[in-house]
Amino acid sequence: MWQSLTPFLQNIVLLLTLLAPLVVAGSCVLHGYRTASLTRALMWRYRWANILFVVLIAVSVGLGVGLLAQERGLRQGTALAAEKFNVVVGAPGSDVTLMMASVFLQPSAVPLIDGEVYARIADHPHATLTAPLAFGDSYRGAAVVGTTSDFVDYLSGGLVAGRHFQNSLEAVIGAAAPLQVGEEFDPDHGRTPAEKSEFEGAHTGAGLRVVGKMAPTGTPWDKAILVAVESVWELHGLANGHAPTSENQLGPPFDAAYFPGTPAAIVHTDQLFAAYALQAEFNQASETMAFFPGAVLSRLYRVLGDIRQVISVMAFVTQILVAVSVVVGLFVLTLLFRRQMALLYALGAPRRFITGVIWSYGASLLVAGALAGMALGQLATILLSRILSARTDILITAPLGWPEVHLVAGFVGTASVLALLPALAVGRVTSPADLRG
Amino acid sequence: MLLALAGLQNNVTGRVTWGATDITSVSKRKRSQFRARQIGLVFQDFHLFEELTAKENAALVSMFRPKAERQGLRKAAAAILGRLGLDDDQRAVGTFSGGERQRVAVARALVTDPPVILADEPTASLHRNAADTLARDLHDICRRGGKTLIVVSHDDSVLGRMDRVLTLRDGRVEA
Repeated sequence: MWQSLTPFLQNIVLLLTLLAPLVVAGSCVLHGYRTASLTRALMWRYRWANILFVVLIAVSVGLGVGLLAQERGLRQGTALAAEKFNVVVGAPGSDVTLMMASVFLQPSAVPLIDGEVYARIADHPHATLTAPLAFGDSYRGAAVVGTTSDFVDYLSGGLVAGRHFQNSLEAVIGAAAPLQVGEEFDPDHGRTPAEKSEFEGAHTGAGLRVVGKMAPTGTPWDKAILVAVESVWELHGLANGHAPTSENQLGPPFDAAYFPGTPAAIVHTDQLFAAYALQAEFNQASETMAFFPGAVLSRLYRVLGDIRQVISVMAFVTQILVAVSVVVGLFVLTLLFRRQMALLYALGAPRRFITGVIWSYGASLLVAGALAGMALGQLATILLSRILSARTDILITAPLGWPEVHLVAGFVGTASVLALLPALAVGRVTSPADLRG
Repeated sequence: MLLALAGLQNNVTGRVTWGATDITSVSKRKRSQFRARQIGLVFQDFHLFEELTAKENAALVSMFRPKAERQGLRKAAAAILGRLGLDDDQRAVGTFSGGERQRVAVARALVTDPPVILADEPTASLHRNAADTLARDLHDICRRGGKTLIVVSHDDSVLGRMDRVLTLRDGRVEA
């Protein structure tokens, strides 16, 4: 039955179930009564205390939903960034390090694969696209990456301005790179401040010119500057991957004898089985390591999954604590209402009506706080996503989703039942003596 | 004493009987129901919800009465407020003068048309003119409606209008 429902309907049913305590409690205490104007009066009379309560609830709810949404946004952003990287082949070592270097362009020292190995990868019958990556240089914080124009096309789906590099002095920039088409630049050797300072001026006079701009990809490659891999090798005084007779050639095929080495080869296959076959083959070879970035990310997500559980539990516990604090606060606040409630009792109001007035007051605060918390959580995720995107260059969007809605609904449902406690207490202890004030 | 008469005092020595009903021997719920139908209360310091309008305060009991009675109670509240010179005033009663507030409290006591009105020092918080007007209006409305009006007061202008005055000294009736 449950499985036959669409995910949307499942979420709706779960939402209604979580909110059911609110509806049931409200029906029990308010049935047949009209408490809205009295609740409004109490809300207005103690507005500053009420605002404080709503803010307290909103901050707690906002933190909970914000953290959950942010974690999911980070997960989706990294998955999107790795999507185009079918299989990565490199020299044996840490697949995480190589993934961080090749997919996320993080500065790392990784061993190289030589020309013969690269040729075997490029000539593999299942490989429809093979591209070397050569990194290590930078310009104003952006990685300068050597590769092929086919890979540029594959990665971005085409250029939005200009054209591809056609010689080793031309470059194509990512959508968010700190350069414009037509500008010239000299890359720095290295990525870190220490490297740059040690090799300051190593590439002065290189005079690379930007001739094209990629479409946005939502990945760290948006900030990158891409040049022909031959350009990187030449800048470092190495052979350019081609025999002297074809020294002006750009791109594949590379001559193994003149191939200086590359830290990673990105391989694309048309078929999934082919990707698995290729990965298995190069993973078994002693001089290479091949992996799916998606699989490495999944491994990291499993660790993150534990963190997510911790975050979820923390968010839940925090909200329970806030709910308890709210209930205790309501107990205190309702002391202020004793005269008004005593009056209602004197006028012949049933105890259930008095309970209903106090409960609807507490429930209004809870619902207002929860809604404000959702808005606050959304705002926090937008800000956090921007900060994280700026720091990691990974496009992170973290809209609130059903898990957050369910968390808030669970909080409201639970707290609304807890709010019955002060309401019942006031309903029971209301005394005409309070009329004397 | 008025709390005891209204069935709001729990530890009462002796009995409080209204007609055939001994309200000291019934449950709190029954007493509450009796009070809701039979007794209207006016307090010295008004006891109004200051954020509500005069009509909302006067028709307060409609919030917990059966749905069928609500419309009638709201109409009755408007009519009584009109008689007391407060019709169509949409302000929150927090902005009212003392005399206006006490008239709203009187309207609230009368809205269910109870046979008995218990008023505790109804003019004590009012200046002279307002006190005289309220004493007159309260007395006239109760007399015309055939209601029993029991007032605890130190105000001669109130006492002078009463059919019978009992003086309490040290908890005992003097005359």
